[in-house]
Amino acid sequence: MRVLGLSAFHRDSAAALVADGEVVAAAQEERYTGVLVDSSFPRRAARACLDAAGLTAGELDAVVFYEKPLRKFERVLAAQLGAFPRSSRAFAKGMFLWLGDRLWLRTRIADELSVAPDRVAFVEHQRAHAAAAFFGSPLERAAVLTLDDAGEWATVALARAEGARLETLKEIGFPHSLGLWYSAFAQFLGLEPGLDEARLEVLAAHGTPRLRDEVAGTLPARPDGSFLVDERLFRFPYDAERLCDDRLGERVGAPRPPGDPLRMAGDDTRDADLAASVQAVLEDRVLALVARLRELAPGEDALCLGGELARNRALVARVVADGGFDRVFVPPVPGEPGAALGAALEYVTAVAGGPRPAPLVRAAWGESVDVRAEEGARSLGGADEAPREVARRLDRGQGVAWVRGALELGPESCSTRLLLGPADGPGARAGLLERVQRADPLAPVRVAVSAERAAEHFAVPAACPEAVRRGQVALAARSDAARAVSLPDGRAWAQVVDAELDPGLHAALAARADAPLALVTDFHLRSQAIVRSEADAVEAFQRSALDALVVEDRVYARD
Amino acid sequence: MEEGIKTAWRRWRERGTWEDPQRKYRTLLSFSETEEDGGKDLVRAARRVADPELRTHLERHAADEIRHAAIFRERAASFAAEHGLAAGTGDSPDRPYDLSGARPGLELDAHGFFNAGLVDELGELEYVAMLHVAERKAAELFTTYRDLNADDPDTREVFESILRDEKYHVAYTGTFLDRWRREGRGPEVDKALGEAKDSRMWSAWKRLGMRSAAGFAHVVLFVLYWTLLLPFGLFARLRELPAGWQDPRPLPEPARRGGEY
Repeated sequence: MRVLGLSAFHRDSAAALVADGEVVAAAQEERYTGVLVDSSFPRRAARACLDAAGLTAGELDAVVFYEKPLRKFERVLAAQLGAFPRSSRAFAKGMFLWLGDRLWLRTRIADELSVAPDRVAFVEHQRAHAAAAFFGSPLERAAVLTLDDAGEWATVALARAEGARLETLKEIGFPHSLGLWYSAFAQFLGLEPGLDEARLEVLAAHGTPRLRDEVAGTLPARPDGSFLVDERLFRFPYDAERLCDDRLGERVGAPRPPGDPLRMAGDDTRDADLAASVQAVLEDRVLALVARLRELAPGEDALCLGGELARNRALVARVVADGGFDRVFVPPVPGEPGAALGAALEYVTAVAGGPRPAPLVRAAWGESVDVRAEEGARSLGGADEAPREVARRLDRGQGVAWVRGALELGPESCSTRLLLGPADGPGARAGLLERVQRADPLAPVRVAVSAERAAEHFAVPAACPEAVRRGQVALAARSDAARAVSLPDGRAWAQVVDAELDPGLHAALAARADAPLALVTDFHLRSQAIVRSEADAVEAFQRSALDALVVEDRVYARD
Repeated sequence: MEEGIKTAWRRWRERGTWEDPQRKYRTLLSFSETEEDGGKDLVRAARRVADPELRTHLERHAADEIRHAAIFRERAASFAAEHGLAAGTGDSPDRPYDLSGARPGLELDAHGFFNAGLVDELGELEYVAMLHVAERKAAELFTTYRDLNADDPDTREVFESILRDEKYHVAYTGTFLDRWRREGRGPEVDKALGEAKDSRMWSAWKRLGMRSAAGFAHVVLFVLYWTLLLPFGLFARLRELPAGWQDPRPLPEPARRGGEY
């Protein structure tokens, strides 16, 4: 059975192809259009998936969209009417979009991909997230928690899964959404909602949660573990452009206009303190959800965590530490692009009765680097030389881009499109980012360390080995070297690299016995998507101030 | 005479865009994006074409487009600063209902029909013909935009400097089309030019139609909201959406599950 899953129209759009129970290709539209967080219909990504598998659209058994349009429309309409008359402007804009396009999605998908309309299917949004979280895990049974913005109605889902069976137990419905509440605070702090949530998390690490009570009042907890969004303070239930009401400022202080200096260091840390308070309240509410899930799924000692908020590393760390589960699994791509894959997996298992795929270890399901080298390449004499070349250059204090193998799905690269720099002190992070025009104190940067040396430098939890290996959890620094490159809260977005998952990066780190840490981030320039091909990489390298670009077994170097 | 009427009509039609600071800012930003798209597409095209001379021209053209993108972006930023426009609000009026960073529809045309990987879809000759038509049109449009910015010397200079490059782009694409004509491929060239013009005209009509329909539909929906939906809205205000834990909706039978809309 060949099933193509699609996600679109909300953050990153993507396509993922599952054939005979295995993931054979997945791609994100952003990589092809160059538009950051591109949410348009993923026609290029779908075409790339079909090309990779050597299939035509006519050979697909089903194309599955990751939410149910009519039920989502019902929610949008109800929320707009509920906000009468404040929603008058947003209503016309929103309804125009829905009546003109979104409601006719089956026809649009059929037309865009040239498939028969009866092969187009739809799965519930939270089930797509839950499927991505559980069916891709190595666990035979688990409790499942999805934390998201919103799909149809549900924003949070508690579920239990075993084998190929996924049972939703309870849900929390729109407008009570942790994801949208978090995005609203991103906008309140002058960041871009839908794009800058990771930057908000970094900002939080610079502050102390001294406004925790004020922020908690915007998201009151209920005794049963659920929560409420105070709808008087937020506009996101009916307005996608202005997510916060002016009254929010009366509770937590004035919003930060975009472009104003960030108050995150020195005497005035108000922006960082507000971000830290938001993070603290988010973690509190999620722990209450986890506790409720443990009551509803007694006996389950493993948890699968999915949805957009499972990308929040500090939150994952808190759930691992205080959630009470022995085992926590976060899928390789927990957000919207991963839900394209989840939609396909949900259809294969729940609708078609097919098997679960093998555990998903990495997210590199995209197209590979071109075979043909670009002008200026120098051969390294073999693929084994690439890690040594990277290590040598890191030893010399250089910034190196490293591109190899297949493109990864998701908004980050943890392996195949990397930018690396030496982790030699507090200024290293800024120095590395400046070389790629990304001088930004909030840009996420990970600290990579080999699995063998990880415990020397970080407190590594045993409960979430996959998340640790993919850099999906914030770890407390233990050594001075790790503390020097950690965030001000003493934690780093650490990536523990093992030889099995990523032999190349592991070899590069292992070759530097005296300097086991390296800074790692995605390879792209400011406001651009992660590089896709060798040609894109060479172009970005030429526009950067990096010292070298290593691609497979060749190097482009300024020296 | 006909050309004069077209220019006058274009000036009248587009003056509003350049008189409104917010629309002007948004338009400059969107030009930056289309120039950057075009640059990327030309980089890809340069790698695909067989003729080394054409490749050199396409590479230079790509560099021009990427430079133009930077020029437009910088001008948009300084214009926003001069007029106190908040950063990041440029595309907000066009954002869809969902939280989304997707590109908004362009208000005005620059090189509006560059698409990723176009050379693969069209073929070499057709691609150059498309470039030729696009660049000629862009030169005409940018001349109008330059003139409409007579009171803004910085923006005027942006268009002035870009127009110089556009002349080169029109010239080299024209040279290749003439060469192919001399090689006996005249009918192919004429067909490709015709199709490029038709495609452009069709796009313009579609854009105009969409814009008119969108405007009309927005008005209708706004009126509906305050008339037909008013009682429902008042009623909905009395009924809060359910909060707290809810039971999931029962799932249909597996065979029907995917088909449910």
